[in-house]
Formats: sequence, structure tokens, C-alpha cells
Amino acid sequence: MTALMIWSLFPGVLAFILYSLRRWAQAVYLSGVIASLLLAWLAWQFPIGEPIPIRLWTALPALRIQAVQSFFGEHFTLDNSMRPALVLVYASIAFWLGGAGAARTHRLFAPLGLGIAALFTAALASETLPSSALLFALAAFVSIPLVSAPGEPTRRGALRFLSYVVSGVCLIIFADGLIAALPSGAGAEPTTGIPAPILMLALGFSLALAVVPFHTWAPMLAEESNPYSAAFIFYLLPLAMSFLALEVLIRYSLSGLAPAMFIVVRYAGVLMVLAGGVGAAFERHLGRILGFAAIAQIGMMLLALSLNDQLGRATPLIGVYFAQMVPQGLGLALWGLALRILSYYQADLNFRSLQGIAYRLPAASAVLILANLSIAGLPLLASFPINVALWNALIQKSQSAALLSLLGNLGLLVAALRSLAVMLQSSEPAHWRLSEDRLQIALLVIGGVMLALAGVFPQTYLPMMTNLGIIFAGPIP
Amino acid sequence: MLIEWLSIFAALLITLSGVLILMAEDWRVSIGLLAVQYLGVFTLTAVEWPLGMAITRLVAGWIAGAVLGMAMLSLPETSPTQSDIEGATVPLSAPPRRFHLSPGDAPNPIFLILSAALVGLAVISQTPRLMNWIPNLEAAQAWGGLILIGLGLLKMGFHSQPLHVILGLLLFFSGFELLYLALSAALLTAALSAAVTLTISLTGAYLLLAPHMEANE
Repeated sequence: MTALMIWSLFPGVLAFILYSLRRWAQAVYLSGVIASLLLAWLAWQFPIGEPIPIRLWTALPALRIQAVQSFFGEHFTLDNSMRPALVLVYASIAFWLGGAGAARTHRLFAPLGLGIAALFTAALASETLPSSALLFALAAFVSIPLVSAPGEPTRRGALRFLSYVVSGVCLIIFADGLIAALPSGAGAEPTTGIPAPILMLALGFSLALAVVPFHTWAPMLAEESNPYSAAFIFYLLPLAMSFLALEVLIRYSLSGLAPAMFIVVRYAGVLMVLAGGVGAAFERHLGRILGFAAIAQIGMMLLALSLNDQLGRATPLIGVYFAQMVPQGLGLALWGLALRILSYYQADLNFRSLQGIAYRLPAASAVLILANLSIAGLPLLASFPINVALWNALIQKSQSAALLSLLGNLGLLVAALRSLAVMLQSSEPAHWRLSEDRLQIALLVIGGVMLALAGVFPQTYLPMMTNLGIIFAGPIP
Repeated sequence: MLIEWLSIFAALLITLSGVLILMAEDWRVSIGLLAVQYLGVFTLTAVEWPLGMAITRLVAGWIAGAVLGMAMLSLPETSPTQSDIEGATVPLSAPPRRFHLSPGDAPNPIFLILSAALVGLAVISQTPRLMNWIPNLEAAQAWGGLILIGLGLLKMGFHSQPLHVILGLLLFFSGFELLYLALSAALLTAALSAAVTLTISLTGAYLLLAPHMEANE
């Protein structure tokens, strides 16, 4: 049995089965969560390519998960260095599926979520960039029903998202082909500046990762669709694309094509954090604020990637990039859930319509503000420890980048304070009452407590996540 | 010599069908032109690749067109989406409304022709550079690929309705496939490209039909 069959084929087949059983929504959600947790646990526990000491009876040979699977003449490899990514992807899917019922997402959420995870795993396993990028594009297509659900009008944000992702993927593949075709070595002509294929590659990743000015689909998507589904897309797609970007950065910096790429990535990150923060600070629609916050988070992810600026190898700073994913995922999921609950009771998420809503939906309003503050990096909340680590490392490389990204986060803080002011503003005497249902309250409270605990006790997960990052990125000299 | 003439003919076919897709108001004509365009793409691909592999482009493209056509035919006659797609005000003497693709505020045809001409000029200027980068790429392939990318971008940029955007995406992706074929003939990449073409059309069909599905489907 190969690793690809376990972590890509099995969830893919399961996604089809769950799709056919979608009438039983709760059972489908539960099966999706259990299957995802099982896959994350398998990736956590079982080494790939080594004998596994599980014998149901003595005659049974030792189990061994093969790392390599050949398909259409190409190799798909999931070795031990990929296990951290597998744990992260499937644990994330389980976490998001866990909240999907309370967020009243469409019943396609569970099958499509698993299908997306299966395609991402195949993309990670592929040894060639074109196949990885095309599988990523397929995952983006599969995600469309999440943001443009049956029975709802077609969303412009979804169409724009598709256009940008497909254009980005095509550019990445074409640039990769051009770089492979470029003459290298002693006979190569010296070039001045950054070669065109590298620029093309950067443009491709910019389109796929919603780097400014290609970010407009994110606020549109968050405004028009179920905020929980939008937050899921904002978390998972950039995560998968950033894995691909990390691989490309390490590979092409090794060939010495453009060491300046890390600086480009750094300033792209700064631009995104700044644009996201400023956009959120001046926005008057809660959904669009979530979209801008997601842009800022992708920017922080790029900043963390740019720290690993040693040519051709991973440094311990890659741990910052990996560790970021827990607070980001937690913050975005809670933000999406709280916003979905608000939008369920009050369809219009403009500030004007939300005055005094905190009195009617106190749990959702409080957690929304808490998640916003956490994403902004407020002390004692989940993102703060990792943001401090990021800024500490960043300020040694570029003071301006660190200061500008701080400014962007300040914009998110302003957005949280404005939202809080609007939600508490009421022209008539208001009385507090809980309108959320029990499941929603339970999930919101658990999530809020997790946000606080992750901020107060970061030592419980940061070392583990950092180690996972180091294992994923390869050996460090 | 025959291959060269075939390539030139295919590039002309692609250009003509691409410009007409950009301007077409009748969705049936658009999908018919898409089929013609894939014939041109297939011809240019067959110059470089084995026939068995090249034919996947043709089959995938034609199936993509068929999927979109079936989705359009499945739209309810009086649906708001259809009204959006086909325009609100059509004179009584005009053909039935479902044959029209563009709403009343679609770009003026003269503007579209001028935009396509600008794309053509840009393609003329960039084709030699691209052939410099990719030595195996023929002029007809470079022309065909770049013109499809340019026209696809125009189509996506000028419209916001699902069918237009999906047609634009298909044009864009075909153009990319033409440029990439000289860089790699990997079997898996070819298979995945065909899968992406089909998925673009399936997504388009879903986006066309989703507003008319029941919320719990």
C-alpha cells in the first residue's frame, strides 16, 4: 500500500461516498471529521517506508507504507518529511468540518472539504511543479460550490477567484518550463536584473495567493458567500499554495537564479499586510473586513517564508512559518463561525444594519471581536506569540518591513474596535439575551477559550509546530 | 511544407474563432466556435505531439463545449439568470431570447474589434521574443497561443456572467496549452490539462445551473 493511496485516494473516494449520502447532513459531517482525524493520526503515528510493528496475528507480515507511487510515468512521493504537512492538512480539515454544522454551511461542505484535501495531498506528493500546480487548480475548482452554493445566485467574487487562480497556475507552469529550458552553467549568457521567467513565476504566485493588486476577490468572496466557507478557502488554499511556494523558493534559490526572490517575497508580504490592514480599518462591511484580514494573514505567511533566506536549504526560522498556521486557522475559523451566526440572524452585514446586535447575539459578537483581535496580534491571544517571534526575526533583516507589517496589524486592531463600537451602539435601551443555539454557544465558548489558552501558553504547541516545519523543509546543516 | 500550411491555417482558424467568440451574442454560435477553435488547437498540437496525445485536446475541448451547451439548454426558460445572460430587451422580430448571450450593456462590437486588434499588435510584437525563449516553438503555435491568451483575458475582463467568464477561461487555458506544448510533452501534465479543461466547463455548468437548484440538493 502506498502513502498516496492512504492520504489522497482514500479521502477522494470517501468524498464521493459522502457526496452520495449528503441527505444525512449530520452523519456526513461526523464521518468527515472522524475520517480526517484518523488520517491526521495515521500521518502522526506511522512512519512511511519503514516496517510498522502492528501484527494482528503472527502470520501477518509487518505492514509497510510505500513512499512512492508511479502514475502516468511520474512519481508521487509522500515520505516522512511530508508527514507534518499531512498532519496539518487533515487536522485542519477535521477542525473546520467540526464547526461546519453550527455554521450552517451547505451540506456539500464535508465531501468537498475532503476532496480538496485529497487533491492538495496529491499536489504535495507530485515531484513536478506542473502537476502540482494543475492539481492545485483542480482543488480550486472543487471549492467553487462552497462559495457559490446551490440555490444562491452566482457570485462575481467566485468567478474572479477562478480567473485569478487559473491565470496564476498557468503562469507558474509556463515559468517553470522556461526556467528548465534556460541555458545554465558556464555557457549561459550573463543576465542583468531578475530573469523574465522568475518574474513570471512571481506573478503566477501573486495571482494565486491574492497578492496586492490581485487581492480583490477575497473581500468580494467574504461579502457575498457564507463567511465560514469563505474563511475555509482563505485558510486552506493559501496554505497549500505556500507549501508549493516554499518548495519553489528552496529549489530555485539553489540553482542561483535569483537570490533576490526572498526580498521580493518579503515586500510582497509587507504590501499585503499593509493593504489588508488599511482596507479593514476603513471598511464598513463585516464580511469584507474578514476578507481584508485574510489578505493580511497571507501577507504574514509570506513574511515568515521570506525569513528562510539561505540559498538552497531550510533554516530554523522556517519553524515560524509553520507555527503561524495554528493561530491563523483558529482565528479565521472562529471569525468565520461568528460572522456566519451573525449573518444567519441579520443578513445585511453593513455597519448600519448591525447597530446593537451584540445585545441580541452576545456570544457570536464577543467571539468575532476576540478572533479579530487575535488575528491583529493583541497580547494574550493566539497570534501574539508567533507574531512577536516573526517581528523579532524580521527586524534583524529589514526594519522597514517589520514596522510596516506592524502598521498593517494596527489597521486590523482599528477594524476590531470599530466593529465593537457599532455592535454595542443602540439608540434604544437594550437588554442582553442569547439568541444563538446551544451548539453554536458551545463551539464559540470552546473556541474563545482556545484562543486565550493558545496565547497564554504558547509553549504547549509552538515547539511541536516548529519541529514539524523543520522536518517538512528538509535537513538543516 | 504541408505541415507549415496546416499550421498557418490552424493559427488563422484560432484567431478568427477567438475574435468571433469575443463578439458572439448567440450562445450556440459561441459554443460552435469553441469547437472550431479546439480543432485549430488540435492541429497545432499534432504538429509537435504524437497524434494520440494531441487528440485528447480535441476531445476534452469538444466535451467541454458540449457540457456548457447542455447546461444552457437545461436553464429554465424564464429564469432570472437566463434573462441576465440573454438580455432584458429584445425586439419581437428578433430570434427567441434564449439564443442571445449578451445583455444590453455588452461592449460595442467596434470597441471589441479594436481591443482584439490591439491584442493582435501586442502578439505580433511578442511572438519573436517568445520564439527566442522557446527554440522548439513554431511561429504559428506562438501566435495561436498568445492570441488565445489575449482574447481570453479580454473575454474575462469585459463580462461578469458565468458563461462569458468560462468561455474566456477556456480560451486562456487553450492558449497556455499551445505555448506549453513545446516545453513539455509529459503524459501526466497532458492528462491533467485535459482534466482542467473539463473541470472548467463543469464548474461553468454548475455556476449556470446552481441558482436554479434547490438549496438542499
